[in-house]
Order: sequence, then C-alpha cells, then structure tokens
Amino acid sequence: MPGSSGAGGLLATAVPGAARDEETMSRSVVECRDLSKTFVLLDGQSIWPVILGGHFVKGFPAVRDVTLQVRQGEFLGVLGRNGAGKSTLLRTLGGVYAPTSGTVRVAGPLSAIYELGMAGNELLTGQDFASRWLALHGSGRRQVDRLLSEIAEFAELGEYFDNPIYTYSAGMKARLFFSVATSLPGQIYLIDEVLSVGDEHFQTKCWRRLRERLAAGASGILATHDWTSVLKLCREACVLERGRIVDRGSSPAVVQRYLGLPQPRGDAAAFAAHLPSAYCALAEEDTTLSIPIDVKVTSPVWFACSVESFRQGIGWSHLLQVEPRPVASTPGLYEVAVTIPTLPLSPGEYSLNLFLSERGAEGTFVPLDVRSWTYGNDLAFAVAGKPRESVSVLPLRWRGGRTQS
Amino acid sequence: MQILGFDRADALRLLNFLKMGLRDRFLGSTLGLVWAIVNPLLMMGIFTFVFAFVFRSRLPGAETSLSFVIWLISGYGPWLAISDSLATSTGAVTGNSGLVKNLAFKTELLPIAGSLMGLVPLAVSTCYLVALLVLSGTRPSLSWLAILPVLVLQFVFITGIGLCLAAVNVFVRDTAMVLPNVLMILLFSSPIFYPLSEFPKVLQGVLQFHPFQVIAEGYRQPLLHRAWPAPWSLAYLAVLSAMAFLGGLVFFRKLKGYFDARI
Repeated sequence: MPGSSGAGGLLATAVPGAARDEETMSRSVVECRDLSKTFVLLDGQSIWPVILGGHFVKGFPAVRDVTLQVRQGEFLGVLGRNGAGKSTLLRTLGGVYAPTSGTVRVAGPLSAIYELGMAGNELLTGQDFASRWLALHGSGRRQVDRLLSEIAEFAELGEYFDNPIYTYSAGMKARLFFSVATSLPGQIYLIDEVLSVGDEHFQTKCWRRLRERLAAGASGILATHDWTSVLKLCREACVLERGRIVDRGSSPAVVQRYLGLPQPRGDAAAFAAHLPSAYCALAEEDTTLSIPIDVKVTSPVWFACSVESFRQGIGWSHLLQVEPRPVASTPGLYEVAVTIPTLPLSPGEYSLNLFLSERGAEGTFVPLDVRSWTYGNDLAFAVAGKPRESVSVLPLRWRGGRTQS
Repeated sequence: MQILGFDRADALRLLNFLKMGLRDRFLGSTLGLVWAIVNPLLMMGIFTFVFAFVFRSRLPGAETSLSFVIWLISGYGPWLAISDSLATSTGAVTGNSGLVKNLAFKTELLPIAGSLMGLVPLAVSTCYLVALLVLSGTRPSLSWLAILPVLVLQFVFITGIGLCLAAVNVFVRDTAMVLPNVLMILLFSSPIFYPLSEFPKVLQGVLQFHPFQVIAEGYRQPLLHRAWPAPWSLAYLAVLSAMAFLGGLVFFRKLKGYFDARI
C-alpha cells in the first residue's frame, strides 16, 4: 500500500533507529528470532528410527522463521486463519514445544491460555481445579487461598464452584478457565482465541480484566482470527500464513490488508505528495492545520477530518470531527486550512484522519482519497502542553449547589 | 542449584504432581484415599489366608506357615510397589496430555512422580509385615533400618526403567498394554514366590544377579534375619540403579522433543 509505511498511526512518532532499536529490545518481554517449529510426521515405519536413534524422516513445518518481539505493556496481535500456525507459535513461545531452530526469550512469569480444554480431571471441583492450576504455576498456599475467593467471584459460578467440572456447561467451563488463567496479576499473557467465548456479559468482564492487567503493566500476545479484538487490544499486529509472518505493522493497517479492503485510488482528487506524515500542536491554543490537496477533476470535492485516539483494551474513540464540506471544484493544487480554536485536547498522541470524497447518488459520500486508521495510513497528531486529567478539555461552565437542605 | 538438570522449582512441582496423582487416582470414589491403603492390604490379606491356611506352605526347614507368609510378603510387598511404580510411570506422559500440551515444565517429572507413587503400597505392605513379625514373636530391631538404602536404590532403578517406558509409550501405546503381562512373567521368573533354592542349580547362579532377587533379598535379610544385605549386592544394585536412572533420563530427554508429534 503506497504511502502507508511511514504513517503507522500513533506509531509514527516511534522513529526506528539504531539507538532506539537497542532501547526497545531491552524492554521487550517476549522475543524470538528465526523461530521454526517442525512437527515430526510419524507412521508405523518411521517410529522406530525416532525411538532408537532420535532422528526423523518426514516433518511438517508449522512455524517458519518467525522473528517478533513484544514490548513491556503492549499486546501484540497475531492474525491468521485456522491452521496458520498461531497455536504452535504461542506454545513454542510459551515453552510447551521445544523450538526446532531459533531462539526464544521470555522475561517474566507466563500465564498462557492455549485452549479452553480444562487440562485436568473433570471430576475435580472448580475450586480444586483453580488451586491445582495456581499451585502448578508456582503459587504458594497463602497466595492460592487469597486468589480463590477472587476467582470464585469473577467466574460467577456461585455454588457451582464447589461442584465437579463435569456438571458445568461449556460457558461455565470457559468462565472458570479464563478467571483462573488471568488471576495472577502483572504477567505476560499468551492468549489463543478465547476472547470470543461466553455471553456478552462475561465478554465485557474479560475485556475489563484485560484492561486492568494492561494498566498494571501486563504484556502479551493475542492470537486470533477475530480482527476486531486485535483492533481493540493491540497497537501492533502481524499476520501468520502457513507458519510465516507475511505482514506486520500497526494493527489497523495490518487488519485492512488482512481483510483485503479496497483502497481509494486517488485518481480524481488526492492529498498532495508533500502532505506531512505528522502534525503537532499546543493544547488549549488556537490551532490551524494546513492540508495540501491535489484536485484533478471538474466536480465538487468534499473534505472532512477527525481526530481520534487509541487506548489499549478499549479501542478507538472519536474526539473531534469536522463535517464534510466542499473545498474545490476545478483542477489544481489547494490548501485546506482547518482551524480549531482553543484546541480542546490534553497533551498526547492522537490520530489525524483526513477524507476527500465526492457526492454520490442519494447523497452518499464516495471516498476519493483517505488517510485514516481504518485504512492503516492515518497521520500522527502530537499535542504538547500542560498535562490534564481528561482526554479532552471542553469549554464548559458549571456550578454545583445543594438543591435541598 | 541444579542436580541432573533439576532445580528447586522442579522439586516443588514434583511434590505437586505426587499430590495430584494420589488425588486423581481415587477421585470420584466414595472412600477416596482409603483405597490406597485398603487395596494392597486386601491383597496381602488374601495371600496370608491362602498360603497360611489353605496351602499351609512352609519354607524348607521352617516349622510354621506364618514364617512362609512373612517370607513371601517381604518379597511380594516390594514387588507390588515395583509393578505399581512401573504401571503408573509408563502411562504418566500419555495420561497427562492436557498438562503436557498446556504447561511449560520438565515432562520427565511426570514419570518420576508416577514411580514414586509406588511408595504407598510399599509403606502399607511394610507396616503389614511389621505387624506380622511382631505377631509371630519377633522383636523389632534396629537392623530393620537397613532396608532404607535398598528402598532408595529400588526407586532409583525403577524410575529409570519407568522413564524409558513412559517415553516409548508416547509413540507405541501398546507398551502400557503389554506391561502387565511382562510384569507377570517377571514375577514368576524371579525368586519371589519360591525361594532361590527351589530353582534348578543351573539357574541359581544366574538368578542371584536378577535385580528383583537382589531387591527382595535386600528386604528379607534385614527383616527376617536381622542381617545387612551382602555388601556386593548393595554395590551391584547401586551401579545398576545409577545406570538405569541416568540411561532412562538421557533416553527420555532425547525423545521428549518428539512428543508433540503424538500428544
């Protein structure tokens, strides 16, 4: 996709460079280089050479030459269809499978949810399962006792917590498992496809828990074919296809390419080549953004823009939006000036989204050229100034008073 | 600190696996862990009844049947532990595939924990034996403690074999099916049900080096004759155990990289 590489959403400020690279490497919590995992294919005849000599004839490469890193406090999304190697990659990173070649480094305690299989005896009660899981992950008796009540409460199993697991419904099992596996705070999480289980109420809770963990400094990898959760949780993502990483970058850009969404070609009107990849401004000051556009047709071209922000675990939210308005109707180079009086944003990194469109039939807008996170090519918008408690600073006036004594 | 590639965390995990194994084996049964004690007790009770009261078997030169039963159980108790250890450790990896697939840990801990499960029937049979000994008028003696080194060596030896069998069983599941038959043949080919002196002269020379004979004698000498087992037999058993354990560990570690093809 042309022009997208330098404008990876909020990442546009993270300019890659030697010094920077070294710094981020030291803060990475999960890292692998040239990781490959080949499963041995065994049939009746090829078993004995393996048993007797430890060598094999045929193998199936499930993960090939994967290099990735996850930085402290971030979730990396791994997208891929069924059988792309996502689960194998996670298990190899988690140390369940030994890598065939390459290196894996994990800095910190791991909590992994590879599958919702209970990995245990169904005759155990929910409580027994929880304490067993915690004990196997190295928790002491006191920590187990403390976490158990928390798990019981979060899983909402009620009195079923003391019943054997075989009496549970599939949803109850999922709830129990997710509650247990995310009960240890401040960990590195490897999560495989589980955010789409359970009813809506429980899903909301799962997301809340992940947000809490992220706020407390957790990191991890989310492997899924559900691109919506990648957009919501991960700044960066990669796509796995037949064991190889075939694409990587900012999550929106990767998702856009993963879904194969069409990109406006910019034939009729386009943002000019010298459009900067980032803008900056001062909080609570009058701000003017100049946007150069190149119009090639004789028909009205409409311009719109928005400022949005991404927060891990919550996703994208609109902060400011300018309604579409016509800016040109004859060919030529133009400069659109968007003025925002007393810029009502707190200091931070935002995403600037620009749209050029024409009026189609029935009054709809047909995009001519777009710079937006939904297309993975948005512009960075850095706001400097005095820090504020809230994201936006609206010119509101209010007063409070007692209405009854 | 590491010993043979195991550290403190592994020791704690081994303890957890032992607890898990004990619970899981009897989980769902009403009496639970009571069966761990009742089962071997029942078995030895039957032996006592059959050999002492039905067959009235006697050892050559002995006057009572009880002495035969004591002799039998002092060999059969350890055997019960050995077969329990081997059966449990052989299925330890395949039976815990959920753990193997979802937890990063040293899988060799599973057969080791499985083998240690044999301590339960051994403890029960030893208590039963001591009760029989006291009943027959023998006074407890300090020399009985001589079974401790034998016990340790027995478990090291059996764990080594268990490691091999557990690894092979991942690829050839028939191993667990064949094992009970092999154990049965081994039991009757060892001097456990009948004294070494009843075997043909030709075999006696060979059979005294039979590991199970050495182990059984290791229990019988201290318990029945208040004597230390022959030094050569302890040394022989020690060498054998070390070889079996190290060999088993190396073999297991060599194969465990391929487990994911079958689990």
